[in-house]
Amino acid sequence: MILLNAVVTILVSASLNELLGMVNAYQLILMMPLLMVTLPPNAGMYFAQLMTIAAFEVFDTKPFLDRLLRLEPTDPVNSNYEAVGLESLYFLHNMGTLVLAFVFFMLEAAVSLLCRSSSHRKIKEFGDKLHKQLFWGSFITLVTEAYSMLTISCMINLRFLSWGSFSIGMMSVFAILTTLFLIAFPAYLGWLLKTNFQNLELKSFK
Amino acid sequence: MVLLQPIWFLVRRLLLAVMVVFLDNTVIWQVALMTMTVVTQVIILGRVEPFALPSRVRYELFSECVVMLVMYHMICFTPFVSDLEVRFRLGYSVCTVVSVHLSYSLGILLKTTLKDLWRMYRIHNASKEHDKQRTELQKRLVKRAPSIRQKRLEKRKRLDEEREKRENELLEEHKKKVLEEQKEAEDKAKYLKAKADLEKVRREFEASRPERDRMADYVLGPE
Repeated sequence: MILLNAVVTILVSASLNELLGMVNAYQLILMMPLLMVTLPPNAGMYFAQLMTIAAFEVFDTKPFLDRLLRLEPTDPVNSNYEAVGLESLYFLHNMGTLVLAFVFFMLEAAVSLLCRSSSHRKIKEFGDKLHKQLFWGSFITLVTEAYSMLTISCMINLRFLSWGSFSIGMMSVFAILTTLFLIAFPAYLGWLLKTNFQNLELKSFK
Repeated sequence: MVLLQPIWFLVRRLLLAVMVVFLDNTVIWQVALMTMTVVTQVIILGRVEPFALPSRVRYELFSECVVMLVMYHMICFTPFVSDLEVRFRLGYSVCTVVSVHLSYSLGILLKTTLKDLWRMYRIHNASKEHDKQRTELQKRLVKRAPSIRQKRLEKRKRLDEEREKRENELLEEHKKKVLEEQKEAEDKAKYLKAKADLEKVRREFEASRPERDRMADYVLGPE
């Protein structure tokens, strides 16, 4: 019964998350409580509920990351940040399940590379297909959908940059590198779309 | 210019993240930047027209209005409004605004999904009807198959015969032409040989001229 309940919850929140992902305005509306304001309790609860659905936290990655990187838990920036799910100062903590999505993407890229280097024709074809879908299908969609959360998480880490231990230092370096990538990404995307503007409607390009 | 929309989509989020985290001591700048991004988005929507469907443009404009309304509510949650009861009421107001937008968006999504389902159902029905028609046609063709095959064979045979006849004609013409050319070449060779003989005789005659002159002097005597 408990398992069934969990499955139903995951399915419902996944579909709602997908619906909310389509509504781009929600990425902005959910960012509003992070302004330097004091939300009344009713609005605070409402935004917290909305964020719970939008964040789609199927797995709690925080304990796993803490154990893996030996990180000390930190306080959130303030109660507004805590209300919308940004409960830590560390970049990877705040990303939540998105970390898993990026890990999955890296695994997919590795599989694609392995398949492409294979001598078997069918495996090579599969690798080519995966490689084609990987960039336009997975990577750009993932970065675009997660851009708000990524930028906020990076900025928080940059604001409270620290080099206390090796893990924290690595996290800071990772946050800086990701910020550079996030700044360069719109320019790269613009260049890519501009150079391929004529081919965007082609089926082969999709 | 159309490419401004996807780029601005990302740049706007980047700006907002910077603004939220780094300008947390100055609410006025946060509000001003938020307003600027909304205004820029509206300008892009109106000027660049990045979406093909007018309904999508209307929806985006509606979303921007909602973002603006939520932002006005956020202004009221600063020390600008000190009365807690008013703030509490405004809390309900902001929840209503966001809920209305959410319902409208979900309504649009539901409508689009239902439309797609209806179209898929119609395509499925049409393909079933098409399959039925194709099966009937195949049956009719199978019935008519022997006569059609015979006609095709006859036609092919006739065409083969015509082609063979034509090839033979062409071959004959070619042979005749070759023979004519050979005859012409032989005539030319004979003519050239006769011409060469005549030239040889003329040269011999010319060579014997001094001898003939001397003989003439001897017979006729000197002048």
